[in-house]
Amino acid sequence: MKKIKVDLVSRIEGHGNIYIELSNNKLKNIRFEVFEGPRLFETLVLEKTPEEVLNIVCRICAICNVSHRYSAIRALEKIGNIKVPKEITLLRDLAHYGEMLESHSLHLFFLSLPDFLGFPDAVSMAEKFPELVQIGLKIKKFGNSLMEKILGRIMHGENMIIGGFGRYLTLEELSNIKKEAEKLLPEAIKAWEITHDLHYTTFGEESMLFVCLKPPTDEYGFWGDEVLISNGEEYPVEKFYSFIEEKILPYSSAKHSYYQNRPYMVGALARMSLLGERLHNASAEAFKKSYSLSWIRNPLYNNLAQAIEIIFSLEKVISTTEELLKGLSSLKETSLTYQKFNGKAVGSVEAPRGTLFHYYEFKNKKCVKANLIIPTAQNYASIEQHLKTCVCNIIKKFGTKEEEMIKEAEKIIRAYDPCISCSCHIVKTS
Amino acid sequence: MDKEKKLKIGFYEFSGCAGDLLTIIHNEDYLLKVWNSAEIISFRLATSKRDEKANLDIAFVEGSITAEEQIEELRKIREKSRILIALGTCASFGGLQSMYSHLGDFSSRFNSIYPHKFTILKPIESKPLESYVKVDYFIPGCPIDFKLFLFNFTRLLRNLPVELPSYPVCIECKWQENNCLLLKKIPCLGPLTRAGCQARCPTHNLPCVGCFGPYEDLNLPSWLKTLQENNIPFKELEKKIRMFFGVKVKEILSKLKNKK
Repeated sequence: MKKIKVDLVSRIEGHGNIYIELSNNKLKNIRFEVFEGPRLFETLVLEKTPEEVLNIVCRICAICNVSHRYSAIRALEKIGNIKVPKEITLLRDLAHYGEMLESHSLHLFFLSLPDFLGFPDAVSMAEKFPELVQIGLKIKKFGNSLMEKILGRIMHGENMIIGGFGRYLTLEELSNIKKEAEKLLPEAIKAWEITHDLHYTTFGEESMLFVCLKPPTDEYGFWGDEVLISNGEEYPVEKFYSFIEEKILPYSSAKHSYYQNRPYMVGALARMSLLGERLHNASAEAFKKSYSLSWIRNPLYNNLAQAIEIIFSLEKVISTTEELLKGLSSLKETSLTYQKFNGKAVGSVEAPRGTLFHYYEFKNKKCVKANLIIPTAQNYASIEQHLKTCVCNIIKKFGTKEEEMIKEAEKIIRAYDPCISCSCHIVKTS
Repeated sequence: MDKEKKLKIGFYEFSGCAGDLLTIIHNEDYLLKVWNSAEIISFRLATSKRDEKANLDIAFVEGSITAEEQIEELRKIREKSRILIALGTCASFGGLQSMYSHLGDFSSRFNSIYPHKFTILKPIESKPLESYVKVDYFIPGCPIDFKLFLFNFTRLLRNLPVELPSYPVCIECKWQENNCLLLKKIPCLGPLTRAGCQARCPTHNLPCVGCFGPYEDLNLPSWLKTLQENNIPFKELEKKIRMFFGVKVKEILSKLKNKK
């Protein structure tokens, strides 16, 4: 029996190990072990007011703090029966595109592409591919600046509140955002071309089940109140949320999620595969050129799907700022008081790495129950399934070549863009 | 700078949101300069290259300690580092996850969420680094402010001590020419919280949540008087203080009670 262990996989968010067990040159066992220290967020929000819940939940994760805040707001506004003007939603979406740009460019250029191009990190990659790293830095900076201008800080900005915003950015800031996005768009297309031309190994190929939110219009988008599944089914979020089965595993401080006993994948690859036909302009062209049937079998294409979502997000920043330039001045600083705040609801958005569900129950303006289902927790079972297929195929082709196994296994894990802190800090309250 | 003379620096992370290390990664204009000004021995979030054996001049440590295994790991980092810096509010005071540490009922809270047995970690009540090892300096913030980090990073490269603003958020709030939220009867933690964020929340008409942790040299009588005059109940603020002040809550509340 041979045991292979990779302690603390680098260039991923959080703490995770790969564990491979071989017997007679056959794979006996493979695990992706995650062991983040628990933070017990569901207890932290108890007894808190809706505003205080927002102060807390964005801090689950620094990379996708806007998605956590946005999901929570969507749940809380359902509970409080609070309707917001269209411009507020547009401004929230603009911050959310900022997060997509920040998170995708961080993952694609700095965490994932070094694997494909053979470097330990982006700084060493910059010596041979200076332009690529520069594009990555520029897009990431732009995404962060969107969040900083709209939310008050690049992460954990408190400005997005129930009912609206504490303060609005100026029309001048808004038109600068538009100009900047227009300047970046050709560079994002160049980055997609490079990502499109990469060699995607096929060791981990295996049929997959995709899940994402269905946008309320017939456009591509990052939120909705219905869930789409690649087997053709559709459900309201509350219903799908109740279908998710969570399994506890002794070697993981995060649960693994299943739908009808099957692992499923959420994230850019799932969204592109289910909604790609809804794209327009440059992102539509990129999708048509890149999409193939391998996408529904190979998680490595999540990288390419993210490159297309970067183009989409920049295009949406341009069109959204255009709309907001007309309507922004009608908005007033929000100061909300409510007599009653009772009930329960699920709020959902697409975080960069997949569908995020926030469930809250309130009694007399105080939170009495919370449960959050995180994209990475939903992806673990799918990650392990592909790791297994990958290692079996490598053994078939090369025998038990340890170096090759580890390299390809790490590539698959990174392609899923796991956010381990997020996934471990939240598990369902029994 | 000559490579031999470059300081050896490591970045480490325990339980938290990774926001402090990300704040460093997210400052594109300076990232390469920070990277090249020192010898980076470990920065797992950014690079596969790492050396676990090398001694360090400076260790920057993010996150609080929430499992027994982390205590050992932290001690190892301490042993090999000349200077250890708590980076962010979790590492400095325990962070959000230390909100209930005063209640002492960790196992029942833990079991309410994780009813199964944990085999990979022994979870414990969240505590800041200082509860286990000597911490040379604190750079608080949730997340840290990059300018404050960079200012201190360059000081450290020149062997100077870390320096933090020695005044509360209110001072920065005045520099922004904001109207005081307490006078509008909005419970704001500005007077109790260390400056360093440029008073971002009050500048957005939102109360300070105290995410930089406590400023120790408070004018408590004056603050309590302002609360009284504006009919803001102390209890409302007490709950808010608990959110980010971690293990420092006890000390502050007892000071407040004495003054009341």
